[in-house]
Amino acid sequence: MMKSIVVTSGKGGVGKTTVTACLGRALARLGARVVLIDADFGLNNLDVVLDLESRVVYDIADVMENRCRVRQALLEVNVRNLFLLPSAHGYLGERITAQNLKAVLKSLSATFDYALVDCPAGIEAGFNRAVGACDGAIVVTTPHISALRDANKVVTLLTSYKITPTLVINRVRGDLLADGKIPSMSEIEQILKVKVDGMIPETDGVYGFRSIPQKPFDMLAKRVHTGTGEPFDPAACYRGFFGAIRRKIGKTEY
Amino acid sequence: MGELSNRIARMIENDGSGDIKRTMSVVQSDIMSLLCEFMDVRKLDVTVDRAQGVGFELKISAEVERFYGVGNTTENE
Repeated sequence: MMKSIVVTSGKGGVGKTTVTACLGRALARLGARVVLIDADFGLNNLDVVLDLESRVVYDIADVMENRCRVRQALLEVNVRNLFLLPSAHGYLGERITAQNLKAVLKSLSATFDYALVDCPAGIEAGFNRAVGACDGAIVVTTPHISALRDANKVVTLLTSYKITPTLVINRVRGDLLADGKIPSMSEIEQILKVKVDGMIPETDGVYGFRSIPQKPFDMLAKRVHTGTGEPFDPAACYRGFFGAIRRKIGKTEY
Repeated sequence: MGELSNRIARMIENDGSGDIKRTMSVVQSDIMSLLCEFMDVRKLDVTVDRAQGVGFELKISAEVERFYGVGNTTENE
Protein backbone atom coordinates (compact mmCIF):
# COMPACT_ATOMS: atom_id res chain seq x y z
CA MET A 1 0.00 0.00 0.00
CA MET A 2 1.61 3.25 -1.14
CA LYS A 3 2.15 5.95 1.46
CA SER A 4 1.50 9.45 0.14
CA ILE A 5 3.38 12.12 2.07
CA VAL A 6 3.04 15.84 1.40
CA VAL A 7 6.18 17.89 2.06
CA THR A 8 5.00 21.31 3.16
CA SER A 9 6.15 24.25 5.21
CA GLY A 10 3.96 27.32 4.94
CA LYS A 11 6.95 29.62 4.69
CA GLY A 12 8.69 29.71 1.33
CA GLY A 13 12.38 29.12 0.79
CA VAL A 14 12.97 26.74 3.69
CA GLY A 15 13.92 23.84 1.43
CA LYS A 16 10.77 21.82 0.69
CA THR A 17 11.83 20.93 -2.86
CA THR A 18 15.36 20.02 -1.79
CA VAL A 19 14.08 17.89 1.08
CA THR A 20 11.57 16.19 -1.25
CA ALA A 21 14.28 15.35 -3.77
CA CYS A 22 16.89 14.21 -1.25
CA LEU A 23 14.46 12.24 0.91
CA GLY A 24 13.16 10.53 -2.22
CA ARG A 25 16.71 9.60 -3.17
CA ALA A 26 17.41 8.26 0.31
CA LEU A 27 14.23 6.17 0.40
CA ALA A 28 15.08 4.75 -3.03
CA ARG A 29 18.56 3.81 -1.74
CA LEU A 30 16.80 1.84 1.02
CA GLY A 31 15.09 -0.19 -1.68
CA ALA A 32 11.69 1.50 -1.75
CA ARG A 33 10.06 2.48 -5.04
CA VAL A 34 9.49 6.23 -4.83
CA VAL A 35 7.66 8.72 -7.02
CA LEU A 36 8.15 12.45 -6.53
CA ILE A 37 5.19 14.62 -7.53
CA ASP A 38 5.57 18.34 -8.01
CA ALA A 39 2.29 19.92 -6.87
CA ASP A 40 3.59 23.47 -7.18
CA PHE A 41 1.75 24.31 -10.40
CA GLY A 42 3.19 27.25 -12.27
CA LEU A 43 6.25 27.71 -10.05
CA ASN A 44 7.53 24.16 -10.30
CA ASN A 45 11.18 23.44 -9.52
CA LEU A 46 11.47 19.75 -8.71
CA ASP A 47 12.45 18.93 -12.29
CA VAL A 48 15.17 21.61 -12.16
CA VAL A 49 16.57 20.37 -8.82
CA LEU A 50 16.76 16.83 -10.24
CA ASP A 51 18.39 18.03 -13.51
CA LEU A 52 15.47 16.72 -15.55
CA GLU A 53 13.91 19.92 -16.91
CA SER A 54 15.07 19.23 -20.46
CA ARG A 55 13.57 15.72 -20.45
CA VAL A 56 9.98 16.62 -19.57
CA VAL A 57 7.56 15.57 -22.30
CA TYR A 58 4.30 14.99 -20.44
CA ASP A 59 3.35 16.43 -17.07
CA ILE A 60 0.67 15.97 -14.43
CA ALA A 61 -1.78 18.19 -16.33
CA ASP A 62 -1.51 15.87 -19.36
CA VAL A 63 -2.26 12.92 -17.08
CA MET A 64 -5.26 14.61 -15.45
CA GLU A 65 -6.70 15.68 -18.81
CA ASN A 66 -6.17 12.21 -20.31
CA ARG A 67 -3.67 13.27 -22.94
CA CYS A 68 -1.34 10.49 -21.78
CA ARG A 69 -1.17 7.61 -19.33
CA VAL A 70 0.50 8.28 -16.01
CA ARG A 71 3.40 5.93 -16.77
CA GLN A 72 4.20 7.94 -19.92
CA ALA A 73 4.64 11.07 -17.84
CA LEU A 74 7.04 9.51 -15.33
CA LEU A 75 10.72 10.38 -15.62
CA GLU A 76 13.34 8.12 -14.10
CA VAL A 77 15.91 9.98 -12.02
CA ASN A 78 19.46 8.63 -12.25
CA VAL A 79 18.84 6.81 -8.96
CA ARG A 80 17.36 3.33 -9.11
CA ASN A 81 13.66 3.16 -8.10
CA LEU A 82 13.20 6.94 -8.11
CA PHE A 83 10.80 8.63 -10.50
CA LEU A 84 9.44 12.10 -11.05
CA LEU A 85 5.96 13.13 -12.17
CA PRO A 86 6.61 16.69 -13.37
CA SER A 87 4.36 19.59 -12.55
CA ALA A 88 2.31 21.48 -15.08
CA HIS A 89 4.23 24.41 -16.51
CA GLY A 90 1.32 26.79 -16.78
CA TYR A 91 -0.82 28.08 -13.97
CA LEU A 92 -3.94 25.92 -13.75
CA GLY A 93 -5.87 27.79 -11.06
CA GLU A 94 -8.98 26.06 -9.83
CA ARG A 95 -8.98 23.51 -12.62
CA ILE A 96 -7.10 20.99 -10.52
CA THR A 97 -8.65 19.80 -7.27
CA ALA A 98 -7.51 17.54 -4.46
CA GLN A 99 -9.72 14.82 -5.94
CA ASN A 100 -7.84 15.04 -9.25
CA LEU A 101 -4.53 14.71 -7.45
CA LYS A 102 -5.87 11.86 -5.33
CA ALA A 103 -6.93 10.01 -8.49
CA VAL A 104 -3.40 10.32 -9.88
CA LEU A 105 -1.97 9.01 -6.61
CA LYS A 106 -4.40 6.09 -6.70
CA SER A 107 -3.26 5.18 -10.22
CA LEU A 108 0.33 5.05 -8.94
CA SER A 109 -0.39 3.17 -5.73
CA ALA A 110 0.08 -0.31 -7.17
CA THR A 111 3.54 0.52 -8.51
CA PHE A 112 5.18 2.56 -5.77
CA ASP A 113 5.85 2.35 -2.04
CA TYR A 114 6.08 6.10 -1.45
CA ALA A 115 4.73 9.20 -3.16
CA LEU A 116 6.34 12.41 -1.96
CA VAL A 117 4.28 15.44 -2.96
CA ASP A 118 6.16 18.74 -3.10
CA CYS A 119 3.64 21.30 -1.84
CA PRO A 120 3.63 24.97 -2.87
CA ALA A 121 4.45 27.59 -0.26
CA GLY A 122 1.63 29.26 1.64
CA ILE A 123 -1.61 27.93 3.06
CA GLU A 124 -3.94 28.79 0.20
CA ALA A 125 -5.55 26.66 -2.54
CA GLY A 126 -2.34 24.90 -3.57
CA PHE A 127 -1.65 23.83 0.00
CA ASN A 128 -5.20 22.54 0.49
CA ARG A 129 -5.07 20.69 -2.84
CA ALA A 130 -1.84 18.88 -1.97
CA VAL A 131 -2.69 18.14 1.66
CA GLY A 132 -6.22 16.98 0.82
CA ALA A 133 -4.82 14.27 -1.46
CA CYS A 134 -2.24 12.79 0.95
CA ASP A 135 -2.22 10.53 4.00
CA GLY A 136 0.80 11.89 5.81
CA ALA A 137 2.82 15.07 6.04
CA ILE A 138 6.32 16.29 6.68
CA VAL A 139 6.63 19.93 7.70
CA VAL A 140 9.93 21.50 6.73
CA THR A 141 11.16 24.43 8.75
CA THR A 142 14.36 26.19 9.65
CA PRO A 143 15.37 27.16 13.21
CA HIS A 144 14.49 30.80 12.51
CA ILE A 145 11.73 32.42 14.49
CA SER A 146 9.49 33.32 11.53
CA ALA A 147 9.79 29.85 10.01
CA LEU A 148 8.89 28.18 13.32
CA ARG A 149 5.88 30.45 13.73
CA ASP A 150 4.62 29.53 10.25
CA ALA A 151 5.35 25.85 10.86
CA ASN A 152 3.16 25.99 13.96
CA LYS A 153 0.27 27.36 11.89
CA VAL A 154 0.74 24.65 9.27
CA VAL A 155 0.79 21.93 11.93
CA THR A 156 -2.51 23.29 13.29
CA LEU A 157 -4.04 23.26 9.80
CA LEU A 158 -2.86 19.71 9.19
CA THR A 159 -4.64 18.47 12.32
CA SER A 160 -7.91 19.67 10.76
CA TYR A 161 -7.14 17.23 7.93
CA LYS A 162 -6.63 14.49 10.58
CA ILE A 163 -2.95 14.30 9.64
CA THR A 164 -0.27 14.06 12.33
CA PRO A 165 2.83 15.55 10.75
CA THR A 166 6.48 15.17 11.61
CA LEU A 167 9.07 17.89 11.39
CA VAL A 168 12.28 18.27 9.43
CA ILE A 169 14.49 21.13 10.55
CA ASN A 170 16.53 22.28 7.58
CA ARG A 171 19.54 24.56 7.26
CA VAL A 172 20.73 24.05 10.83
CA ARG A 173 24.00 25.78 11.68
CA GLY A 174 25.77 23.22 13.82
CA ASP A 175 28.04 25.79 15.44
CA LEU A 176 25.11 27.96 16.52
CA LEU A 177 23.29 24.88 17.80
CA ALA A 178 26.31 23.82 19.86
CA ASP A 179 26.53 27.35 21.29
CA GLY A 180 22.83 27.32 22.19
CA LYS A 181 22.11 30.33 19.97
CA ILE A 182 19.30 28.58 18.11
CA PRO A 183 16.60 26.30 19.55
CA SER A 184 17.57 22.64 19.90
CA MET A 185 15.59 19.71 18.54
CA SER A 186 14.04 18.92 21.93
CA GLU A 187 13.04 22.58 22.47
CA ILE A 188 11.38 22.72 19.05
CA GLU A 189 9.55 19.46 19.79
CA GLN A 190 8.38 20.93 23.09
CA ILE A 191 7.22 24.23 21.55
CA LEU A 192 5.49 22.87 18.46
CA LYS A 193 4.39 19.57 20.08
CA VAL A 194 5.50 17.70 16.95
CA LYS A 195 8.07 14.92 16.63
CA VAL A 196 11.26 15.86 14.77
CA ASP A 197 12.32 13.21 12.28
CA GLY A 198 15.20 14.99 10.63
CA MET A 199 17.84 17.68 11.15
CA ILE A 200 19.59 18.81 7.99
CA PRO A 201 22.73 20.91 8.33
CA GLU A 202 23.38 24.13 6.49
CA THR A 203 25.89 23.40 3.78
CA ASP A 204 27.72 26.43 2.48
CA GLY A 205 29.05 26.32 -1.03
CA VAL A 206 26.84 23.42 -2.09
CA TYR A 207 24.97 23.92 -5.30
CA GLY A 208 23.09 21.08 -6.90
CA PHE A 209 21.25 17.94 -5.92
CA ARG A 210 24.20 15.62 -6.43
CA SER A 211 26.52 17.46 -4.06
CA ILE A 212 24.14 17.68 -1.10
CA PRO A 213 25.43 15.43 1.75
CA GLN A 214 23.43 12.22 1.88
CA LYS A 215 23.96 11.10 5.47
CA PRO A 216 21.36 13.41 7.12
CA PHE A 217 18.77 12.34 4.56
CA ASP A 218 19.68 8.66 4.93
CA MET A 219 18.98 8.96 8.65
CA LEU A 220 15.71 10.78 7.93
CA ALA A 221 14.69 8.11 5.42
CA LYS A 222 15.38 5.39 7.97
CA ARG A 223 13.06 7.08 10.45
CA VAL A 224 10.37 7.55 7.81
CA HIS A 225 10.68 3.99 6.47
CA THR A 226 11.23 1.99 9.67
CA GLY A 227 10.38 4.41 12.49
CA THR A 228 13.75 3.73 14.11
CA GLY A 229 16.99 5.62 14.44
CA GLU A 230 17.77 9.15 15.50
CA PRO A 231 17.88 12.37 13.47
CA PHE A 232 21.27 13.62 12.35
CA ASP A 233 22.93 15.89 14.90
CA PRO A 234 24.52 18.88 13.10
CA ALA A 235 26.14 20.02 16.36
CA ALA A 236 27.96 16.75 17.03
CA CYS A 237 31.17 17.82 15.32
CA TYR A 238 31.12 21.15 17.18
CA ARG A 239 31.11 19.69 20.68
CA GLY A 240 34.09 18.84 22.78
CA PHE A 241 37.67 20.06 22.44
CA PHE A 242 38.02 19.61 18.68
CA GLY A 243 34.50 20.95 18.21
CA ALA A 244 35.48 24.15 19.96
CA ILE A 245 38.44 24.49 17.60
CA ARG A 246 36.16 23.98 14.61
CA ARG A 247 33.83 26.68 15.90
CA LYS A 248 36.80 29.02 16.22
CA ILE A 249 38.10 28.47 12.72
CA GLY A 250 34.64 28.19 11.13
CA LYS A 251 35.24 24.75 9.62
CA THR A 252 32.23 22.59 8.68
CA GLU A 253 32.55 18.89 8.08
CA TYR A 254 29.76 16.44 7.42
CA MET B 1 14.76 26.56 27.38
CA GLY B 2 16.83 29.45 26.11
CA GLU B 3 15.66 33.02 25.74
CA LEU B 4 14.97 32.62 22.02
CA SER B 5 13.01 29.42 22.57
CA ASN B 6 10.95 31.13 25.29
CA ARG B 7 10.20 33.98 22.91
CA ILE B 8 9.07 31.53 20.22
CA ALA B 9 6.93 29.62 22.71
CA ARG B 10 5.29 32.88 23.90
CA MET B 11 4.64 34.00 20.33
CA ILE B 12 3.04 30.69 19.40
CA GLU B 13 0.90 30.76 22.55
CA ASN B 14 -0.22 34.33 21.74
CA ASP B 15 -1.03 33.31 18.17
CA GLY B 16 -3.25 30.51 19.49
CA SER B 17 -4.93 32.69 22.13
CA GLY B 18 -5.44 35.45 19.58
CA ASP B 19 -7.11 33.04 17.17
CA ILE B 20 -9.47 31.84 19.93
CA LYS B 21 -10.26 35.42 20.97
CA ARG B 22 -11.11 36.42 17.38
CA THR B 23 -13.25 33.32 16.92
CA MET B 24 -15.13 33.92 20.18
CA SER B 25 -15.79 37.54 19.20
CA VAL B 26 -17.54 36.31 16.05
CA VAL B 27 -19.33 33.52 17.95
CA GLN B 28 -20.59 35.94 20.61
CA SER B 29 -21.87 38.33 17.97
CA ASP B 30 -23.70 35.54 16.10
CA ILE B 31 -25.21 34.09 19.29
CA MET B 32 -26.41 37.55 20.31
CA SER B 33 -28.04 38.07 16.88
CA LEU B 34 -29.81 34.72 17.11
CA LEU B 35 -31.08 35.20 20.65
CA CYS B 36 -32.27 38.75 19.98
CA GLU B 37 -34.69 37.40 17.38
CA PHE B 38 -36.63 35.66 20.12
CA MET B 39 -35.94 37.47 23.37
CA ASP B 40 -34.86 40.71 24.95
CA VAL B 41 -31.27 40.01 25.96
CA ARG B 42 -29.73 42.38 28.48
CA LYS B 43 -26.37 40.72 28.87
CA LEU B 44 -24.51 37.86 27.16
CA ASP B 45 -21.37 36.19 28.42
CA VAL B 46 -19.41 33.60 26.42
CA THR B 47 -16.28 32.21 28.04
CA VAL B 48 -13.75 29.60 26.95
CA ASP B 49 -11.60 27.61 29.31
CA ARG B 50 -9.29 24.65 28.84
CA ALA B 51 -11.17 21.50 29.75
CA GLN B 52 -9.63 18.78 31.90
CA GLY B 53 -7.64 16.66 29.53
CA VAL B 54 -8.09 17.61 25.89
CA GLY B 55 -10.29 20.33 24.41
CA PHE B 56 -12.11 23.39 25.65
CA GLU B 57 -15.14 24.18 27.78
CA LEU B 58 -17.46 26.79 26.31
CA LYS B 59 -19.92 28.47 28.69
CA ILE B 60 -22.74 30.69 27.48
CA SER B 61 -24.90 32.65 29.89
CA ALA B 62 -27.43 35.35 29.16
CA GLU B 63 -29.66 37.67 31.16
CA VAL B 64 -33.03 37.83 29.43
CA GLU B 65 -35.64 40.47 30.26
CA ARG B 66 -38.49 38.75 28.41
CA PHE B 67 -39.38 36.46 25.54
CA TYR B 68 -41.05 38.13 22.58
CA GLY B 69 -44.65 37.12 21.82
CA VAL B 70 -45.04 35.19 25.07
CA GLY B 71 -47.77 36.17 27.51
CA ASN B 72 -47.63 36.06 31.28
CA THR B 73 -46.14 32.89 32.70
CA THR B 74 -45.83 31.44 36.17
CA GLU B 75 -42.73 32.50 38.08
CA ASN B 76 -40.65 29.37 37.52
CA GLU B 77 -40.78 28.35 33.86
